[in-house]
Amino acid sequence: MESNPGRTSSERDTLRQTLRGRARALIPALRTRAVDTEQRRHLPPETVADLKAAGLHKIFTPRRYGGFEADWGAHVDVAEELARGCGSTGWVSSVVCSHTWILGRFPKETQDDAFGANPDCIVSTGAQGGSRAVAVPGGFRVSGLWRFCSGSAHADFAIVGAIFDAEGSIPSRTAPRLMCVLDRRQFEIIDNWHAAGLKGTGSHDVKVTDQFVPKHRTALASDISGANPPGASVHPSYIYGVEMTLYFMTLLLGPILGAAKGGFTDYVEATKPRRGQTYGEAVVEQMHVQAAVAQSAAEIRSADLMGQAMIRALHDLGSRGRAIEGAQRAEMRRDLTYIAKVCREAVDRLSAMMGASGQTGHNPVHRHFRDICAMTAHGGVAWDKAMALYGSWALGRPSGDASIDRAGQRFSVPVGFPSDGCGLTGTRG
Amino acid sequence: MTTLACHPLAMSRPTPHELAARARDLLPVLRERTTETEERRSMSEATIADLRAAGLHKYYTPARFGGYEMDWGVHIDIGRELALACGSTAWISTVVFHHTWILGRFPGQAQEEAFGQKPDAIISTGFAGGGGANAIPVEGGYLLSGLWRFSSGVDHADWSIVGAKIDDKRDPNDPTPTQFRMFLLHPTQYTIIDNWYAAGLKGTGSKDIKVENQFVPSHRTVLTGDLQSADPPGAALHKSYIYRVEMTQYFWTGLLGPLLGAAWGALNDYLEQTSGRIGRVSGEAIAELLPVQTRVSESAAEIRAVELLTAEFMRELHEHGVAGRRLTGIKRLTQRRDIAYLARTCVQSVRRLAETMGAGGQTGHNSVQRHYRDVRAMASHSSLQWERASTPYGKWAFGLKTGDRFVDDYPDPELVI
Repeated sequence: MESNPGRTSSERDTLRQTLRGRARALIPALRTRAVDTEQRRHLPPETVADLKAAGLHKIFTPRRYGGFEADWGAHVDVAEELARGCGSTGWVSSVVCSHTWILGRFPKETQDDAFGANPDCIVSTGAQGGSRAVAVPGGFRVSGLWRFCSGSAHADFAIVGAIFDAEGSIPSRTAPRLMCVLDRRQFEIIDNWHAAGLKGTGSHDVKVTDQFVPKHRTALASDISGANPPGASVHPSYIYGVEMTLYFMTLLLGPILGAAKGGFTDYVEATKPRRGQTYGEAVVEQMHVQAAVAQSAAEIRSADLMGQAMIRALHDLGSRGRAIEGAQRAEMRRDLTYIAKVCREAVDRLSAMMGASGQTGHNPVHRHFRDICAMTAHGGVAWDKAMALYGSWALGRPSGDASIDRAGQRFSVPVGFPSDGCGLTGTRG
Repeated sequence: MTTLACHPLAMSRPTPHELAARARDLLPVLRERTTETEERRSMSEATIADLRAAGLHKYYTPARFGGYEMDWGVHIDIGRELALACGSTAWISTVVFHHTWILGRFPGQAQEEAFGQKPDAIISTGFAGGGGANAIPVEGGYLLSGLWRFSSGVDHADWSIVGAKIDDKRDPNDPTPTQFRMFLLHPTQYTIIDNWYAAGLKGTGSKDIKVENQFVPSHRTVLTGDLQSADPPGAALHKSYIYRVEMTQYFWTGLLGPLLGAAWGALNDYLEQTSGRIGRVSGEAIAELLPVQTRVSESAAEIRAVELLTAEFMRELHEHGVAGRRLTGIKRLTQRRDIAYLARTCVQSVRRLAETMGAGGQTGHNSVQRHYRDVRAMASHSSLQWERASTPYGKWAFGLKTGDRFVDDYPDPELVI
């Protein structure tokens, strides 16, 4: 069933293309500003202005509040393009768009309050850190410190997760978690993002000291992250109704693919005129350099196809109201993590061939490499954890993820070629 | 001459799906025969009979001779299925059986003589050795001599196609390139030298053949350049685009089905053997070890990644073929690169698993070990040599000439990645 009656499928595809095109147009400016962005440790105001002028902050802002409410994957397209020029900008774009998506899952009252007051809003989130929310008449008093809040420097609102503490006692890890939507004046930014990569994302700490949050600005985290959250019925698109976790993790995809492609392109351009510093030989004539470029290109292409297939599957399943369970869920966790590794290796290989000149100054290949290292350090693509999930499932053991295990599937070789790819018997039969 | 409309075999033409399902039905019996196949160093008559009964030898045999004349790509599906059980059988069923496609590009009279006598024909080839062979032009044809190596499936071939350079008694200073021709030979014209003692793909019977001073009439020969071109002599006889595409790009896909199938087969068998395995010294459950779990996962992701690549370029080949468009520019190099990348990735995915198996994976007739030997033998094929296949792409990316005029004469506006 078509779940977004507002637009035809081709109109929605056109929208994605339009958004991607606008992002692509910004690449030269972002490349020029990359050093400045790193030195500032957050996006320069002109970059924020460019993103807003192109409407790229409203990809997942609901239509009823003036946003695009685009299909799943639009944020990947956009962040990938932006990250070709500047990884930090790609990252912030992907992250903050995912946050307006989360806000679109809150009760209507919360959304009216936030989007209604500021349809252009940028939203930061804090998930990691110590916190507590104490129930008081009409709401909660919230305190805490949250770490690594990307985009907080530009945020109008912050959504923070707090341990709900009804009795005022010491919160436990199993206590229900509350998500609270805070106004800008309710949180303090502690300027402490001094990173090796993604330097410009302004992923500072956010501190909240005993702020009153009215009840309608809060929701149980489990309600927001599960399928059919309170806000889902407010909007026509399926994206606000899907179970959150796997969709949320795809925020990593665009920045990673973009940094890999940007690193590749910048390497090729930098190497074309390069001559060995000692003997003056043309580097491009060297067979191992040609083969290494081909290896990285093949890796990036295969990661790209895998990412596209994943996004297509998430869109198809989501728009049909189907959950992602069993083998497919384990495979998606695996593939996302594999993409991250392959892209990092692709840039590492090239960066490592640049000798000392690739290490010094503001070499863009090295910046892409540092960025992709920072991106792939994210817990969502932590190698052992995600890969062991699929591995234990394939070996017939519990994976630990109930959504995978309760389907009771066993490994089998896929019959025929991937029909999500495809051209052989998968589609031509 | 038979016609397409009334030929009884053409009437029972399966769909590609049905043909792949017939291959799948053979897996249990092929699995039972793997040891025998390796020890025989060649296909058994029983296996050849099974493959023939399933029609797996004529997916690219022209319809006018009773074949299925299927769209490009089905050989990969079939190879992928069969190699789950037996890499050697998959190799024969794809690398050898898809040679009917090459014969379908020969002059019409050669096709009439070969397929007309035997619509069920299996055709082996000999390309390695052509550089040292010799063909002397004589009245009405050529006198051919030479030794060709690694002619897979030759024990069961009804015909063989070999390539050789022409001895035209030219001036050694003549700068024009030497002519190469392909020759269609009847088994009475060559001797099989039983010398295939391999580490992997043991059962393919890829033996040498020797030809001594045999007369080959002109109509059973074709210039290699013409055969490979987008307008080979046989194209006009058949409906399908597959006989009139420029051959090289399509030919390079011949080995992919067995590679993918062997990689999946190794993963599948490894999981079966490992899920209940207990360490022999300390008694720990192997499946609970984190490195084992992550290895399984990485190998599975690799195979999935290269299957997506495969699906992509097979779609391109099919679409270009149907539209009668030559593949030019960067697409050519990307395909060449990705095919070799696929091969090395498949080897890597199997090696990662095989090397965790300890002595248990080395002894006896362990199927993971067999898949590993097979996949390495497949990937050592000259068309899959990594540097050779990948450096043209590297040159192109840097703006250098690649030496392929269908790339160099079709500049792409910018580097697309």
